[in-house]
Amino acid sequence: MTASAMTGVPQTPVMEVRGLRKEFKGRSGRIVAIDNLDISIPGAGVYGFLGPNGSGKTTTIRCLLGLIQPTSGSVELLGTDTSKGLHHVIDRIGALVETPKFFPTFSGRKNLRMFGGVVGLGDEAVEKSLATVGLAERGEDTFSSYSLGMKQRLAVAATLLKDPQLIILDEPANGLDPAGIVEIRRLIRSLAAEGRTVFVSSHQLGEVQQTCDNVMIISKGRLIQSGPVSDLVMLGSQKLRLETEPGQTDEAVVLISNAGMAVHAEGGNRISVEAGADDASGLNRLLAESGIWLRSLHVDESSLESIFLELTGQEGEL
Amino acid sequence: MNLFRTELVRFWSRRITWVTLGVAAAVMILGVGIGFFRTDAVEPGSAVVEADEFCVASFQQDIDDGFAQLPPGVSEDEYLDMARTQFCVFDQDNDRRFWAVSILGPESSDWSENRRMWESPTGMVTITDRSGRDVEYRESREPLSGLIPGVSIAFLLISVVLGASFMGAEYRSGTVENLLLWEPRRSRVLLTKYVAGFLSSATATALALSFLTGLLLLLARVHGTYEGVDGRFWIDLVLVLFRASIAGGLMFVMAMGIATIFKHTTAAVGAILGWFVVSNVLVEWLLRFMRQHELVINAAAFVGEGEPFRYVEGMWGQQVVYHHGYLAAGVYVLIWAAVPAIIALVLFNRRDLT
Repeated sequence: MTASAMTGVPQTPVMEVRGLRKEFKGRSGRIVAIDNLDISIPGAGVYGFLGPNGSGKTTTIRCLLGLIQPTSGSVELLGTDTSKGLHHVIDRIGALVETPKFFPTFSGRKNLRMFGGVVGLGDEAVEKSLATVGLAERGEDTFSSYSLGMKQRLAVAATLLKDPQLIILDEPANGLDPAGIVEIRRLIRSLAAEGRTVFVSSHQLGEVQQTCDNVMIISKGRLIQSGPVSDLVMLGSQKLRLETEPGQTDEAVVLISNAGMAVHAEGGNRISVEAGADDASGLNRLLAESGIWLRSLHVDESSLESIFLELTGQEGEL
Repeated sequence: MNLFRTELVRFWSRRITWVTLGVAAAVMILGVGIGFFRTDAVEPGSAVVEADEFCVASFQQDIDDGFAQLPPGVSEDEYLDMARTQFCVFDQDNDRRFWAVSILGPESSDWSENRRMWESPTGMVTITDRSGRDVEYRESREPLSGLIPGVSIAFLLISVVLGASFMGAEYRSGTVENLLLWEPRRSRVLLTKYVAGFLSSATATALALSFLTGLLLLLARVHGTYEGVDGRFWIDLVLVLFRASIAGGLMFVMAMGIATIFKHTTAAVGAILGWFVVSNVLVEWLLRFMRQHELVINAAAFVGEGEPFRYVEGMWGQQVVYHHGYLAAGVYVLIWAAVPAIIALVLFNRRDLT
């Protein structure tokens, strides 16, 4: 583990992106992939980077890592301007961009040795990384013989080889089975617990909600919302869902409405009320005092997914 | 240095490297094996004597006919002494002798006033064409070191394929992007690849041609003779291998550069091999003015110590005159390799990896 990671609090912001813009030449003119994007990550933790397909997530990550030259704006990673000194900090940054990319005829172990060798890492680091992702026993198999999930694990192993302070993962759960996804989730959390910063893009909103401390939502190249996951979820509407005894539903609707709350009869003795968890006990008391006994009452919080859809105006699969 | 070491490991770990070298070795073994069965052992000294007689007679005839030019300060006797046979095997099927009078003799039909006097490190001259007409059952052939330069052209093509694949595979598998996540200084990455590729390819070429040389020397041992072979022969043979290796390395780098420009193996191989195929037609027909600058001609001249010539208008129409020597030919090959490599370096630095 790096010294900074051990202390948990880096001396400088881990990531500072200011006014990032990237234009591509298209047949129909210039296409703006990223538009005046600002990102600030002060320290350790798991930061989710959400956006629908084509929103600019991967382009942003490529800009961060110097694979794409930004049209304008600045990127600082670990306190270093990447346009001038990325090589000074690259050995403290592990990254997986889109799909795993390795030499197909080399074994997983040899691939890691090859890339680790570029920065002078030896077999010990390779074996440790392979073991971390559960590929030690299949390390001698050629990369081309790996399943998609194994390839993804190898890519994660490669990002961990450098014992990085900042880890950038682009869709790390792609191709993984449910057990693999759980493993990756645990791994990401454990990396953050060690004082590292994990910047993870994903379209699996549930995963982000379970894994990340903070989230940034990007749409059409622009950052439209960011903050702690819990705060974002609170941005959405909350509902109380009630179920009454048969024959009491209409009366309950009138009572709740008279109390000044928005209420909707949903059929089958079920009612939804535009109210939060804090209102639940008062509502229950109000109905009980009128002789209306509830079969059930629960708080229905908005998911990150619904928030996301509201913010980006997206529908269907992301 | 870490990156350099990694690139060396990658070159020698690639399947295509070993498959190519294996196939080349098999073809060489087959070719020399056929040579073995088509030849008989010779009586010690007899081949040399006969070849000497033939060679001296041929030179004498050339001198008498006014075709041969004596180097400045060299007497006729000294000149004939230079033509001693150094290596031969006997071809039993065709009843003729394969013999060598020199290892690096330049062949030239340049009879213009500006012609270059015969020169070679050995001071000897290879004759190839006229002897076949003059002597019914004997035919002079390329010497051992003439065979090596000829075969080395094939290895230049192999170097092209390996070089294009070395870089094209990086784009195909996306590993070039992965590599930049470990070393983001792009110039350093590509230049290191060039150097590692050059050295590796040159070494591979040297190994392969040394293997062939070993086989031929073995054949000469059992079905030929080393009589007359002197230290100069070996030195020149090593120099041929050395130049072939350098040419192989340069072709590798050129192919790497073109593969980087196209971001594709097949496109690079197609472009270079396509040039190999059409260049001879072009420079002998449409682009005669650039014959002396052409890649393949200069590569062959550099390896075989030849002398690219150019066309000039003479008394009897177009004639050929010597243009530059084999070392200059090496510089031409270097330029041919450097131009795409530099263009590739510029593009590699500027391109987005998307």
